[in-house]
Order: sequence, then structure tokens, then C-alpha cells
Amino acid sequence: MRARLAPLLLAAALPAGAAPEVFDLDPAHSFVQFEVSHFDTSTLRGRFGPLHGEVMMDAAAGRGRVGLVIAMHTLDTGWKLLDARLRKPDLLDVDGHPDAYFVAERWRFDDGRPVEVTGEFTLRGSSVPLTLRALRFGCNVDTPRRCGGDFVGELLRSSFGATFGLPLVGDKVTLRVQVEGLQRLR
Amino acid sequence: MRTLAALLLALAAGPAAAEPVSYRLDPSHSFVHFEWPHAGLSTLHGRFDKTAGRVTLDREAGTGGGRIEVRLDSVNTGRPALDAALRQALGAGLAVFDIDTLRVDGGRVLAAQGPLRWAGRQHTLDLQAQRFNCYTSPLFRRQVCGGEFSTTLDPAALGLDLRAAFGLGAPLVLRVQVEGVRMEAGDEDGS
Repeated sequence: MRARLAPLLLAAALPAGAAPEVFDLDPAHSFVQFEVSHFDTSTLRGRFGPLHGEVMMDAAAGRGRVGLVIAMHTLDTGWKLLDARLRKPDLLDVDGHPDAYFVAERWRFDDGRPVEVTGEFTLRGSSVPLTLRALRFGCNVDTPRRCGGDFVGELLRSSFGATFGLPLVGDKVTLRVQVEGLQRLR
Repeated sequence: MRTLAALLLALAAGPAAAEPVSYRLDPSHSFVHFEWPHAGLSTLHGRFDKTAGRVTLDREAGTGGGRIEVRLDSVNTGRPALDAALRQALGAGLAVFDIDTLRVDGGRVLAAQGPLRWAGRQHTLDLQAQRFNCYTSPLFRRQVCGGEFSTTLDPAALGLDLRAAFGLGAPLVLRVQVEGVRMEAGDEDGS
């Protein structure tokens, strides 16, 4: 996975003079949780992760790039029968498409903090635009620096062909992403 | 025809009668989730995987109660080291939530209050509903009622201090998703 993402990240080399920082995602604090409405009654939740990948951020220049991979077999809803059902071809098709990717180069900053990250999410072999909004974001002052936050985004599972159970199990999927990265020291 | 009409009338009258109905929690759609801030940066999402219980609800009279049990050693954050620390702090038994008061309005549960007891400790829980609904389950062929509830706690009130070891601060948000399947005569007692 890292090998596949590496060329994308190398292509992000910035013009001289910029001061980009590179962060490696901290697998202990990088997960994605999804939420789907179940019969308009309860919320079906599950988790993928840890996430692996890297982030380049240049707040002064208002630029950034994230490339991360989600190993789909890490799906965990707390109910093994449901996990097995969700992994089948008419839903997540985990055997056919073992990894999902998020690559995003369009970052919006406010007061030095990223507030919105837009890119392409690839799941089940289909790629759709996805915007993640920051609910909070910050950095600490340790060395190496740790930055992280909570992001939220929405997508329609039908746009990836994962249509089983519609509409009683909702089409709208809310993604809640916990992410922290450790600054890569040169 | 007359018999059918009488039967339909009788069926229609059934649920309308002000009578308490018991619901057994469906463990595949009943989970206690929690959100815990980490290092002032991001939010850890965790969950207890094993929840059981039974709730009695009289939607007409607006009353009800029940008991929900959570297996503390089923805690699952996706991080084995943290799960082990939580099991050590919480114990491996049950957390029992006795619902003394169900606040119901217009047939919808709005809140559930009562004592939560675990490992000799006790803390009053006040869960507020974000959503409540009933539907007929095509799987169980029975009425299912449930919803989304939440409350915000100080982890210190639960005897949880993982700030030094794991950077986990306050507050702790509990998000309880619950669905209960209507029990009928002949069901084994779910208590």
C-alpha cells in the first residue's frame, strides 16, 4: 500500500522556498468510524483502522496533501455476523477490493489550521469526490510535533455500488475520522 | 368477511390498549459507544460489544422501565493495550443500568434515567434520546422499538483516569444505540 501511494506523494514536491512539514499517521490514533441509519431507529456504527499514510502540510502556503489507505478487512462493528455480511460482494466486497484510499490535495485553511480537505475516496473500485470537514484540529509543541484532529464527511454508499438493504438501511454514510500524525524529522 | 373484519378490529385494538409491552434488546443492534478526547487533539471512539437487557414500555400511559447489562470485558477500542487497561480499571463483570424512569411523550421515549452499577460503584445515568422510533422488522416479523441516546460524563466519576498512561482527558460521551424486539406470550423470560 505504501509502495502504491509513494509515487503520488513524491509528485507533491513543493516549489523551493515553501516550508512543508511531513507527518506519518500515528496508527494508535488514526481510525475511521462510519454511521448509517438503521430503519430510522438506531445508528449502525463500525470502525476501520488503524489507518496508514502520510500528510504533507504547509499552513503558511495554505497547501496540504494527504494519502491514506484503509485495510478493509479491519472492519469491526462489534457483531461478527454483521461484519461477515458487510464484507460480501454486494456490500464492501472486501476480497475483491481489500483496500480503500483517500487522496486529497485541496485543503482550505483558516488561521493556520486546516478546516476542509477535499479529494478522492476510492472504495470497492469506485472513486468519488469526498470532502472532510475539521471539527477540531491542533498541534502540540513536542519534538517531533504531533498534529491531529477530528474530521467528518458524508457519502452515499449507492455511489460505490454497495446497495444491499436500501433504503431501510440508509444510503447516507457519515464518516468520522480520528487522525493524528507525527512530524517526520529530517 | 365478517370474521375477517372482527379479526382486523381485534388486531387493531391490541396495540392501542394501554398495556405495558416488554422488549428484549437485539444484541446485534444494541451497543454502548463512547468518545474520549485524546491529547487535546482528536477523539478516540470505543465501544462495548456485548449488551443485553429488557425494557418495558407503555407508550399510551407514557411509563416504563427496564434493565440493561453491559459486559465490561467486551470493551473494544481497536487498540489492545488500551482495552487491557480499561478492563483492569473497570473489572470484568457486568455494568447494570436500572432504568427507574423512562420519560415518554407522544409514544416516543425522550430520556432514560437510573443508577448504573458496576464493581461496587454506582453513578446515576441520564440518557437523552436523539431519536426514537418503532417499526415492524422483516427479520423478526415483530415490532422493534429503539433509538439513539447519549450522555456526557466526567471519566473521574467512573473511576477512570487514563490521562497519564494514554493521554485520555474529559469529558467522556456515551452514545447508546438500542433496538428491542417486542416479546410475546410464549417467549422465554428474557430477564
